[in-house]
Amino acid sequence: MQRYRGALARLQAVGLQSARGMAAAAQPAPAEDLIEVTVDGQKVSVPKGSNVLQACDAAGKDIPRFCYHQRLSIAGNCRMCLVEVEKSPKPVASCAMPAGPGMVIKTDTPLVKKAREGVMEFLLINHPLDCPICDQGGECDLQDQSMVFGSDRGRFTEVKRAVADKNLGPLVKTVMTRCIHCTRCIRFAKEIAGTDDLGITGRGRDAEVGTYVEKLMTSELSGNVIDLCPVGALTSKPAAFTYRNWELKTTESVDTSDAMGANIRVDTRGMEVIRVVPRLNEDVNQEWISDKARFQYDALRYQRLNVPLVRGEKGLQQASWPEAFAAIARAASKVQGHEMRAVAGRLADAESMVLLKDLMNRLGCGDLRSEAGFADLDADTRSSYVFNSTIAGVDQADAILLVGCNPRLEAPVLNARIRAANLAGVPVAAVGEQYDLTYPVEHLGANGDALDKLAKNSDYMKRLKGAQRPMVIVGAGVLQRADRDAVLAKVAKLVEKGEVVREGWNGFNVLHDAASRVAALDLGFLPSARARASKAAPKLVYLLGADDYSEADVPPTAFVVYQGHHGDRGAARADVVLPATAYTEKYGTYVNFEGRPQSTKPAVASVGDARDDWKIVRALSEVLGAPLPYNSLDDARRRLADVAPHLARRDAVEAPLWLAGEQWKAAGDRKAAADAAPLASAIANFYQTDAISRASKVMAKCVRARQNPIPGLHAASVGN
Amino acid sequence: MAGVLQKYMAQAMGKASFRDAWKAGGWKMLIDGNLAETLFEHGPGAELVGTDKHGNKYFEKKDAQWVRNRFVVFAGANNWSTQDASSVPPEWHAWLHYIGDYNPANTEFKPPIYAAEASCHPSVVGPLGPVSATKVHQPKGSWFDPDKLTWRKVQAWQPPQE
Repeated sequence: MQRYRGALARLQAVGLQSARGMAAAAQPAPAEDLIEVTVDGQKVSVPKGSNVLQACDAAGKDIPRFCYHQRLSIAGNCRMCLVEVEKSPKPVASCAMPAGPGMVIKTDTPLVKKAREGVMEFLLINHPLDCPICDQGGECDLQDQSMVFGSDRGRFTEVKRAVADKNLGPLVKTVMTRCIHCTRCIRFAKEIAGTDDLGITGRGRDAEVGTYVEKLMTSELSGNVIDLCPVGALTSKPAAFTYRNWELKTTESVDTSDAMGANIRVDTRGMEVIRVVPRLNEDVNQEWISDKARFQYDALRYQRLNVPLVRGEKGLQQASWPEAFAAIARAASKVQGHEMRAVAGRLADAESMVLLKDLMNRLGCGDLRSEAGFADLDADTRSSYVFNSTIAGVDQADAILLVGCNPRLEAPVLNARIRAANLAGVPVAAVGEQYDLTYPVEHLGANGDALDKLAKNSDYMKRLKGAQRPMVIVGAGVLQRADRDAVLAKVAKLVEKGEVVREGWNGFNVLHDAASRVAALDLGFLPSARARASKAAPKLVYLLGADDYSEADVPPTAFVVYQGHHGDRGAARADVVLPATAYTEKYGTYVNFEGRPQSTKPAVASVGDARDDWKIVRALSEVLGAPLPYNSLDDARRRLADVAPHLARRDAVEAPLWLAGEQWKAAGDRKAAADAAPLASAIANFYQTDAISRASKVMAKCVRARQNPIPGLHAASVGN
Repeated sequence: MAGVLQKYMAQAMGKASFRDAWKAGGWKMLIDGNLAETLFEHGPGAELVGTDKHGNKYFEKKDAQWVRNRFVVFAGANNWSTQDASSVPPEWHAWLHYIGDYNPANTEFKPPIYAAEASCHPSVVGPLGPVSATKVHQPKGSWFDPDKLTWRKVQAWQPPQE
């Protein structure tokens, strides 16, 4: 019952959902929109349109359920939530029965108990008795509820049915004999993920959940069906048979695989991360996470940097920390401050970036940049580079325009939210390359010219103007373009003409694709004016976890220091490698694309000789003769708050000022013609975007599976 | 019809002609349904993955339905009385039942030596007896297992050698 109670508590924390499936927690309804019902003699007021189950939840009564889920449509097919309603001849399925004013509901009568016991007996007829080897064992809704409503013996003397297991790809393991046909996974795939992969074939005893033909589940959110499945029919394939849930220690942390900062729970056993599951946060990820966030953890075992390495005659050789620092000090003594450069990677945390910035500035170096970033972006105005409407704001938007972004790959959970808005009737339009976003998108053109056309009194412009809360979402791919200023000037015109920013609503949004990006911009981890003007190649480059740097950023003759946790391109290029900790092993502040600072927490110990990033920079500062005055994480965070005060308000979004478009005017070459190339997302391969996901074997399997999504289909029969 | 079946049977048994296939024991399909099913249902288009020490042949039919695309033709397949399902070695059993995708024909397996078996052979001695170079199988997690002592949960990155 433990987990079941937890689920209920969570549900109550969520509050009652409004009619729109994915909508955020409903606002308190005005009194006239409330109806009063009686649950077990207790009067409760619930919003109109609630069902009986929600009324019971509001009264604090546990209603057992399998098929009902507050974010999915109502199926009413498990019949477990039966309650007695006065004047009703039979028990009613509470999830499918709308609550009416004055309804008298009873949840603990002998009739209800008997009805539920009957349902449970039917469910258990065909459910295998493999709890001892089932991965869901211990956190299974059926197991929990059968403890309350199950009989100690069955009256069914025939054989249990057997169902062939379905192959849904490398992430979701199926044991279909355990399936109780709640159809949560089907509704999730259809409604939230938007890939209509799953369905039911057959009737009655022959009913099977499956993909009709053997087919990969092609959603980036497919792992969520594992959480949704109330039994052990869908479980994690990479983690199969590796744990029992009561062995795990949980740590509440934040995901860094994309810029959304999804709230996760890292489950560990000893030194190992065993699984990653989402944590409820209505304002960020609701209760979903992407497959990359969920399944990339196996990479924390592979290709780890565990000792400092120094390049000698035979390539990179193991060294001690003092030796590695000495090598850096030797190299640094030969170069001037302005001949250095620091490049922050996608996974860099804010603490280490602010310390590295301080260190570099003390050494006289102002050349700070982000990998695959936008070194010359003017980041003086915060509202010009964050997701101003906030993620929850997507629920309120009534017109959405995507400019050169592919939210399905850049932030799959956000894409699900946009999809929910779209299902509720919000039109979504796009300028840029065409992507399959799982919902219909009105395509308004591919490149900058299309933006010009839009701004010129087009039909769409009128609609944008007429909308109450319009949203324009600019992808990170646009900011990485050489003609960024020209494109942004067009977007600015569009924003201005379409009145996207209004009183109480800022509809201009930038969707970043790297976890460290907003923090880097907030902290001013950007080249100084002098560094921007300088054309000289740096002689010492400090890569703070940067693996996707451009070749121009790291000249071949430069002395390269790499600080990071996975051996990848950066470590292979480096002259000195300093082993650091990954996001599951440290306290690190990450600012998501809406500007929400959140902290990861150490779930497991660091590997080998690795140290926290900020500690490495602090220790290095001592060696380089510019000691930083930050001796603890608190000191580093205080410094963080000095530089960017909003980073001290954790988990909250500080709404940035909109300077009435003034920030646009400061940008550089605005008159330049925009390139004709389509505005495109920078992410082509969702599963491998950073050092961690590239080291993951599971992610590599996903990439392979995507190349052949229908394994049973012979190449010859496809028609080429 | 008959011609098609003859051709099919020859193909299924990997023979040039129906006559050869018939002579090679194909006629036994008439009385051995298992053989007929194996050869007719699975046979054509299957790829020989490997042969174990008993001579059992293992086939994979890539475009068949998963769970039905791996099968074995036993060494004594031409005579029902010599077919022995228990002759499938553990590593091939694993492959056949999708426990692993490793092809035992080109993967090295260490056959476990159990302590009870080892005590019967003076050359193989368990951890409680005289020290022997041969490893005796220990249950997972046993401290007698040398692999347990050298086991690492994390693999370090190996820098590219110059």
